[in-house]
Amino acid sequence: MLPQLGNFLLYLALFTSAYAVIAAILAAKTRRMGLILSTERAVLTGFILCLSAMAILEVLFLTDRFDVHYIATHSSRDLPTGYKFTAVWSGMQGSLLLWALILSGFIFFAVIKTRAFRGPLASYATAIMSFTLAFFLALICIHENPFVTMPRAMPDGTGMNPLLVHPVMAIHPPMLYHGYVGFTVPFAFAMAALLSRQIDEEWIRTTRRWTLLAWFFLGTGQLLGGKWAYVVLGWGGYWGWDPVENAALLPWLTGTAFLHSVMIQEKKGMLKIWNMVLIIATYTLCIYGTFLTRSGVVSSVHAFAQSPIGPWFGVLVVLIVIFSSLLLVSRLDLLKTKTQYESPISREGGFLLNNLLFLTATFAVFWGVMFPVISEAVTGDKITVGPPYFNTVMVPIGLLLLVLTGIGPLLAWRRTSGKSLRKHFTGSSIMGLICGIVAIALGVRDIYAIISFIFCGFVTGTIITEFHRGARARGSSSGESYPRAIVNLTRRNRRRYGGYIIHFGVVLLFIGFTGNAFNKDSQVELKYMESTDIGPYTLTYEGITESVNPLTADIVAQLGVYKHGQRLGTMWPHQKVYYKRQDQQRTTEVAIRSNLREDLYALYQGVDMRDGEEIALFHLYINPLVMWVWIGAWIITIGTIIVMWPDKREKQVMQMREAMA
Amino acid sequence: MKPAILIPIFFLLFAIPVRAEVTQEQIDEVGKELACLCGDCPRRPLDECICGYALQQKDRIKKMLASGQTSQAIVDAYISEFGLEILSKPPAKGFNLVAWIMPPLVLLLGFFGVRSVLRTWSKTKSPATPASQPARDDPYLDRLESDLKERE
Repeated sequence: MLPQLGNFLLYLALFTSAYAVIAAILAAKTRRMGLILSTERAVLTGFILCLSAMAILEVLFLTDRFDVHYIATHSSRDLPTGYKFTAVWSGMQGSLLLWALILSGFIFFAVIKTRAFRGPLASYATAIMSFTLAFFLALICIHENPFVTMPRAMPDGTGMNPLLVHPVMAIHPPMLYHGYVGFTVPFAFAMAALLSRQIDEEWIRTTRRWTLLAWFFLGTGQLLGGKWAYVVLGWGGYWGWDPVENAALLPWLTGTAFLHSVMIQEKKGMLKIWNMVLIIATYTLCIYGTFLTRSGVVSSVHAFAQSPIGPWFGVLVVLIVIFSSLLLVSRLDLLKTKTQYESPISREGGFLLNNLLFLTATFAVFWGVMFPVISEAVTGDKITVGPPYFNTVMVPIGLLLLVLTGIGPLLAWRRTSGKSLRKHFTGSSIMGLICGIVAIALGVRDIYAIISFIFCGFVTGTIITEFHRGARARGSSSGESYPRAIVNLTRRNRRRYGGYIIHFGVVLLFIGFTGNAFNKDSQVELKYMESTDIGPYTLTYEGITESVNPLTADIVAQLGVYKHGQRLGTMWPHQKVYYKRQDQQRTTEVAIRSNLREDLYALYQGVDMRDGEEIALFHLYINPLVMWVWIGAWIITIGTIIVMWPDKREKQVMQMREAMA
Repeated sequence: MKPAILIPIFFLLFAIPVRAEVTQEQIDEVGKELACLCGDCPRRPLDECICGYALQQKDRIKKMLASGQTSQAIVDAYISEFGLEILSKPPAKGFNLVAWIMPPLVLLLGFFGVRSVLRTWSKTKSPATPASQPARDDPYLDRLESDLKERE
C-alpha cells in the first residue's frame, strides 16, 4: 500500500509542478492575481507532495520493506538505523527524489520570499524552477522510480555499499545537491529578468543570498567529499581530480566568478551581459555535472550506474544552452552598460581579471574531463587525463587567483593612484616576503610551494590591513575600543568583512593544499614488533586482533607511534570485511594522527605468510598541513554565515517594498 | 691462456646486467608516469594508487628496474602493451598536444578579449571622477573611507 501511495504522490507532484509551469507563465503574461495565487498554491502542494513521497520512502527503508526493489538493493536488516535513513539517497532513484525534494523546497521558499513583489519577474522565475522540478519528477516517474515493487519480497536486502557507510557520506550528498539545486534559483530569476524585460539589478538583489547559499553548499559538499575520500578510500589524499569531483568543481568555479562580478553590476551597473552568461554557465554546468555522474560518459568511482536518464540530461543541457542563449541575444539591447570605466588598475579591473582566471580554470577542468572523449573521437586512441595533468595546469591558475584575492580589496573603484597602491600594498607585500623567507629558511625548495606561502602571507596581510584600517577609523570616530571596533565594523558591513573572512579561509585552504608538495609515503612489510621510520616518527607493529560484529569482521592492526624514542600513542588501522555480503567486500579504515603541522596516516593492507612468519603490510604517509584544509573550511563557513546573516537595513528596505507593492 | 684474452673478458663483465638494489623512489618515478587501469580507481598514477592491481604493477616495475631497464624503456614497454591510455597524462605530441595548449591559449585569448572590451568601455565613459574613489557600500562605509582619508 505504502509503495503505491508513494508512487501516486510522485505522479501527483509531477502533475502539480507541470500545472505550476503553465499557471506561472499565464500569470506573468496576464498579471492576474488569481493565477499568481494559484501558482503559489501549486508550488506549496508540490513541496508537500515531494516531502510526503520522501517520508514514505524513509518509512519503507526503516521498516525493511524488501518487496520494494530499490530498498532490497540498497539496504539490509542489519544496517544501523541511522544508515537506513541515509541509505535513501545512496542510489540513483532515491538521490533523484532527494534532488526533487530540495528543489521543491527551494521553489517554495523562493516564492515565499518574493511575495513582496509579485509580478512577471517572480512568475517567470517560478515557471522556470517548476519546469526543472517537473523534468526531474518525470525522470523519476518514468525511469528511476524508487517505489517499484517486486512480486515477492526478498528475505533480506543486499545492503548499502560499504564505502558509503560513513557519517560524512550521510551529509555529503545532500550538501552537494543543495549546491546544484540552489543555482536553479538565480538562473531562473536571471532568465525571468530577460523574459519580463526587467533588466535592472532586482534579480540579483533577490537571489544574492540564494547564490551564496548554493555556492557555500557546493563548496562544502566538495570538501566533505574530500574528507570522506581521505578517511575512507585510503589513498592518502583528499582530491583526486576524478571526473565526478571535477563535475562539482565546474559550477563552483563559475559560481564564484558570478558572486564576484555581480558586485560590479550592483555598484556600477556594468557587466550585465557577462553576469547573465556566468549564471547560465553555472546552471548549465550543474546539469552537465548531473549528466556526467549519471550517464556513464566518463568512468568514475563516484558515478552512479549507467542509466537511461543520462541522455535526458544531455538533452536538457542542450535545451538550456539554446533557450538561454537565444533569450540573451534577443535582449542584448536592454543589457547595454552605462559604462563608468576608467582604468585597469581599479576594483573593476581586478574583478575582471578574477573572472578571466575563474573562467580559464573552468575551461581547463572541463577540457581535462572531456579530452579523453575528444582525443578518442579524433585519433581513435584512448588516453588518460589524470591528476598530473590537472596539477600542472591548475596550480599556476590557482596561485594567480590566490594573489588576486589579496590585490582586489586594496584597489579602489574606477582608478587606483600610484600613491595609494604603494601605501596599501607595502604592509601586505612585506608580510608575503617574510612568509617566503621563513619558508625557504625552513627548507622549502619547491618553487610553487614558496610562491604559495608568499601569496598566502600577502593575502593575510591584505585582510589584516583592511580590518585594521576600518577598526582604526571607527575607533577614532566613535571612541570604541579596538576589539569592539572590529566586531562592530563587521556587524555594520557583513558583506564586505564577512567576505574577507571567507578570503582568509581560502588562504588556509591554500596552506593545506601547499602541504601536498611535501607528502611522503612508504610501503612497508613488518614482522611482529619490528619498527620502521617515516619522517620524524618510528612505528612499531604490535600485532593484530580480530573481532566479529553484526555487520563486519574487523581485522585491526596495532602500531605503536614513537618520536625521538618517546611513545606518542597507538594507531589502529584496520580492515572491515562485510562477511554477510556475497562479494565479501573489504573496506579500509585508516588511522590518522593529526596536528597542525602534519598528519601521520597509516593504512593496513593485510598480512602475508612467509616461511611460517606473519608479515603485515602497511602504507604509511606523512601529509603535512592537511589540518589547515579542514580549518579553512570552517572559517569559510563562519564567513558565509556572517555574509548571509539578515541585515536590519535590508529588512527595512524589503518592508518598504512590500508596503509599496 | 694468454693474458691478452682476459682483457675483453674483463670489459665484458661490465656489460653483464647486474641485479641492482631498486629503491622506492625509482619505482615511484616510473609509477607516476603511468595510470592505474584497474577500472575501479579514477586512473590514479600508479605511484599513488594502493589497489591490488597497482601493487602488482609496482612489483613488475621493480623487477624491470632490477633487470637493468631504464625508466623510459619501462614506460615504452607499458605503452606498447596497453597503448597511450596507460600514461597518467596525455603525451605532449601529435593531437594530444592540444590538451596542453588549450588552457593557456584560452587564458591568453581571454586576456586580449578583456583588454579590447575595456578599451571600448573607456572610449564611451561617463564624466571623469576623482581617482581612488572608495567603494560605496553604504553611508557608513562612506564615512569610514572619509575618516581614513582624513588620517592620510
